[in-house]
Order: sequence, then structure tokens, then C-alpha cells
Amino acid sequence: MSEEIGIVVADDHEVVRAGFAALLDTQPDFTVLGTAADGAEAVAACRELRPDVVLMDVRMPGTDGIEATRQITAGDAAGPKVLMLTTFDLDEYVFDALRAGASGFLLKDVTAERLFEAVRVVAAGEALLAPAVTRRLIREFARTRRPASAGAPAALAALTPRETEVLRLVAEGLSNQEIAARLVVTEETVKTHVSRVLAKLGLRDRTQAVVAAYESGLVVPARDRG
Amino acid sequence: MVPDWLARAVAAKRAPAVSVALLALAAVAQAAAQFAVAGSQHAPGGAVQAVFGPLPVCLLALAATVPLLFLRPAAAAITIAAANALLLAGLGMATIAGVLAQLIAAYQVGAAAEPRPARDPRWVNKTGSTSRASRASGAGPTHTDGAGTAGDVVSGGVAWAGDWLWRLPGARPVSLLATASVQYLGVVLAVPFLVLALAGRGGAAAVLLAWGGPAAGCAGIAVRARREARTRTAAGEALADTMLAHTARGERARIARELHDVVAHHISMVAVQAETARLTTPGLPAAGAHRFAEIGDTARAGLTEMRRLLGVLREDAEDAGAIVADRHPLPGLPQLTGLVDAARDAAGAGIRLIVSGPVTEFDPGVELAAYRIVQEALTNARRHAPSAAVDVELRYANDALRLRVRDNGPGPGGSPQTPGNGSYPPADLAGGHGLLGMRERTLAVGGTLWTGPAPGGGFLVEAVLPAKPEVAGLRGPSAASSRAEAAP
Repeated sequence: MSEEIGIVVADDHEVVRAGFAALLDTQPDFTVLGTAADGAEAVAACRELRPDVVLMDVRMPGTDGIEATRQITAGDAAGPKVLMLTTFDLDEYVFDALRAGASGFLLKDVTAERLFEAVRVVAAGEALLAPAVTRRLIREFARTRRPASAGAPAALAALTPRETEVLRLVAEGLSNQEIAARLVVTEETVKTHVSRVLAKLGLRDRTQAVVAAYESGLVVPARDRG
Repeated sequence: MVPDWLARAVAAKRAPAVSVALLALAAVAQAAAQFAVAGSQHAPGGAVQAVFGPLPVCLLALAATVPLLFLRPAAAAITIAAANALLLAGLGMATIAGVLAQLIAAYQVGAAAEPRPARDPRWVNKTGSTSRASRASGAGPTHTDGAGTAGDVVSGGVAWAGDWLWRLPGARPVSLLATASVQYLGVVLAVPFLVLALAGRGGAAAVLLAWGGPAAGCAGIAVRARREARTRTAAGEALADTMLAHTARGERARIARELHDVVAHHISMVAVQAETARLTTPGLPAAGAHRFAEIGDTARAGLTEMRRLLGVLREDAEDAGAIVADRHPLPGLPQLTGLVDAARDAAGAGIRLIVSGPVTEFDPGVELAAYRIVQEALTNARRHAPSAAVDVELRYANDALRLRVRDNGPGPGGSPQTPGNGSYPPADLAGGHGLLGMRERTLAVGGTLWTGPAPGGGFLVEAVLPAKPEVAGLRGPSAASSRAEAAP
């Protein structure tokens, strides 16, 4: 993380917008490039300022945060990563945001330290899903997805067996370190596998890899785990 | 005066059984007496009586009364009519008790509920005789003889056919037809007596049964119709009450959810500001940073509770079909222009927004209440006075916000010729919210609401929302609700 992380903050409330911007500016590796008061402004700011990470409120007048996320992440996978910030941890928000292409989901009342960590994790392309959120995500997939066919899903045909195995473990919520221990390889090797999986499937980060693994049926969630 | 055993029997709700027993006793006594008198005076029919002897006459007298207690109304009516007809036709006599029993049976047939499956408790008739008794009659009173058994068979057959028909899909009309014909049995059974009366046989008893039977039957039918109408009305009212309660609950949950939403938003701002102050205040001593951290922790603890509460409220609102997971901020007065524009586009009618006084910002809760009241008022106007012009007036004052929404439609109870039916129910069940919702919203922020016919026609919604809800809140909800009645 030698480079600075460029950030855009989108929230319709001045207090929140200014507060987060001031907080993030205290970190030497963060640069707040700009702020936006609604979804449309956020989309425009991303096009213009090309940030690495966008902090996005869900509820905004006009274009809401989830729709703005969809527009921002619709382009290239190298575009900005979106970290949703909301007052309410509604399941609907979480699932819609992740499907729209968000990389993580945070409550607005996080401590500053957790916020900084989250921005760095998302910027690095890692999954930012709290265990509780992952559990709910799995439950949601268990509820809405029908059991997939036994064979390897067509969407994942491009992956080598090892890469498929790594993706499966990522989707189960394991960290690189844990995957390395499980497969008896170095963490560096796992990182290489993960980035190749993301590249082959055109995914922007680990979170979207988890979503893809569930949606393709590679991982069949156990019923009623939560 | 009243014998002890009789009082006890009445107390034990055996009055029907006792009455029928007394009727039977009277019938047998009268039959026996008449038999004796006829035997000694060689009255008409004496020869027949001589052939039959006293026993069959007494049995017929019993058959003309006892079925009231043991058979279903239809079977009882048939049995009693047959016994009376035999007595009159064969012997030229009928007992007073028998005639009474037949009138009662005719009434009961008319008044009895429709022949639903026999276990239906409604099948219990006025005198307390039940289907259970009719089913057991074969094993029970053997003295009901041939006629009784035949009547029971008929009754059982009708009941069985009714049950069977009832279970067939689409057979309800057929079954209803059967019910309809059964309730006129009292009238039909009068025919033999009319014939006897016209033939000059049977005397006063035949005439009484020919005219009294149908009258009693019709009286029974009328009583039953009234009872059913009352039941239907009660059921309808209960349903309306339930829906109203459901609507009120859902609406209250929605209001509570939105208000908690506003509060949660405030608390999350506290958390953000505490964190910002902790890390961005230049020269903040460690003790100060610690204080801010504590404020942040308190805000987070409050939000955790708030989210739990909101989860419960959301479930309630979901039950009532309210919208959840809104992706837009809760509306306030700045959004009113958009609301009025949308209503104008949808209605195609003239809707004006008139703003007066110094425009200021009110608490989010008050602004939300104002927005929702105008929203409901516009929805109501469109529903009840579709093509009417509507004026939305917003008057800003220092201490309060005054809202007036008035349409030039027919108003409450308007003539049916005008568009819309002009009726403004207290809570519109179809829409779910209506005036009830406006009232709840107003009370929630300690305001006053007046709704009703506007002077000069149309419907008027008028609300005064205090700028400082906490001051009004001190007066308590009861004060607010009593003030809500008064016209400003």
C-alpha cells in the first residue's frame, strides 16, 4: 500500500459528509478527492475524480446509493470500489448493494479505526463482510437460490481445479491465511490464485467473488445455518 | 303454588321436556276422556272407536305431541300432522294438546336453521330438542310407533341428503333449495286439514290447523330471517372492526417506524460527530478524546437498541403491507412541491400549493408529519372527489405550522351525481390510512387536526403542528386528543 487511496464521500447530510471527510483526511495514506450530496453527484464525481473507494450512503434523494453503485461499477472492473455506509443494516440493503456491485457494507456509527481499516481492505480488493453479514448473505442465497447442478458450473469452466477450490474456500468466508493452511501452500500462492480467479471471471474483488460463487452454484449454502 | 319438582326442572333448563310431557299427558287424558264420553253417548265415530279400542287412540294422542321433544322439527311436524290427521279423519277428534303441538312444530320448522351437517350446534331448535335425540329415537321412545319411525326415517333421509349434497362442489344452491322447501313444510302440512275442514270433518280443530299451521310456519320463517340478518350484521361489523383495528395497528407501526427512523438518524449523527471530534480536534487532551469516545460508545449502544426496536416495528408494518426498506430519505416540507406536482399530474385536476409566512426549517418529525398529512389528504381527495380542484395551504408561523387541504368536491355525503361518492369514512378500508392516519400523525407530534365539510362545500383537512413538539408533548396525549376535536 505504497500509493495513496483516493476517496469520494457521498451522503445527503452535510454533517455526515463533512465528518467522514475530516476523519479520513487524518490518515496519511487517504486523500478525500471530493464529496457528493446524492447518487447522481456521486456518479459524476467518480467519472471525474476517478477515486479508488467511494463511501456511499444508501438513502439519498433522487438517485439512491444502490442505483449509483450499479452505475459506478457497471464499467470496468478496475473502477472505484464502493463501500456502503448506512444507518440501518437492513437485509434488503445488504443484498441489493452486493448485487449492485458494492464491495462492503458498514454502519455509519462504526469507530474511526474500523472505518480506516475497511477502506484499506476494500481498496486492496479484499472482501469486507462482517461474519454476521456473511451469515445473512448465505441465508439469503439459501432462501432464493435453487440447488445447483452437480457438475462444475459453466461460468466457472475457465478456472483450473485448484482455482475453483480456492474460490470455494473464499466463498466459505476463509481468509488467505486460512486457505493457505487448508491447502498446505504459502499465502502468496493463495493470493496469486485469488487474483487469477478475479481476473478470469472479471470480478472486482473478493466480495463479488463470494457472490459469484453462490450465484453460480459452486457453493451450495447449508439450509438455515444462522 | 308451583310444585317443587317443576321449579327444579325449570331451573335445570328442562322446561321444554316438561312442557312436552305436560302436553302429552293432557293429550292422553283428553283422548281417554273423549273416548269414554264417546263410548257412553254413541257419538259419531263411535263404531270405529269400538273397533280400535282406547289404546291406539291414546298412542295417536302421544304421537301428536311427544315428537316435539325427540325428533328434528321437520320429522316432528310430519309425525304430529300424520297423527292429528289420523285422529281427525278416523275418529273425528283431536286433542287440544295435539293441535298446539302441531302449531309449535310448524313454527319450529320455519324457525330452524338450515340443515347443515347434524353436528352443527345451530341445529338445536327453540324447545331444546336436538338432532342427537332424533338420531337416538329408534332406541329411545318406542311408543312413537310406526308413524314416528317413518318420520324419523324421512328426517334422517333429508338430513343425510342435505349433508351429502352440501359436500358436493357447487351443490350449495341445490342444498339451499332443499332448505327452502323444508322451511315451508309447516304450510304444506296444513293441506290435509284444509281438505278435512272443507269436507266438514274435524270441526274447529281442522279449521284451526288449516289456517293456524301456515300462520305459525310463516311466523317461524320470519323469526329465522330476522335472526340470520342480525347474525350477518354482527359478522359484518366484527369484520369491519377487525379490519379497522388491523389498519390502525399497521398505520401506527408505520408512524412509529418512521419516527424511530428519524431518531436513529439523529443518533448516528451523534456517533459520527463524536468520532470526528475525537480525531480532528487540534490539541484535544487525552481526557477529552476519552470523553468523545464514550459519547460515541453511548450513541452506538443507543443505535443497537433502536435497530432492534425498528426490526419489531418493521415486522408490524410488513404485516399490514406497508412499504419497507426505503432507499430515499424520509420526506419533509422541501419535498412537498414534488408531491403536489405528482398529484396534479395523476389527477389532471387543478391542485395548488399556497405557501405563506416566513419559511423556516422545522424538526424532521414535524416536517414528516406535515408531508404525510398532505399526502393522505391528496389521496383522499382523489379517491372521493376525483376531478375536484384542491388547494394545499402551508402557513408558517413562529410557533406552529398550519396546514389546510381543501377540495371543491361534493364533500362528505355528497350527491351521487357528482364525481366520486363524496363519502369520507373515518378510516378508508380500501386505502388503509385515510383520516385515521392523519389523526395519528398529528397526535404523534402534539398537534391538532380538524376534518370535515368545508364551509361553502367540499372537504377540509386542517392541521396545526407546533414548532416545538416536546412542549406540546408535555401536555400528554390525552390533552392532544381532546384538542383534536375542536375546530381551530
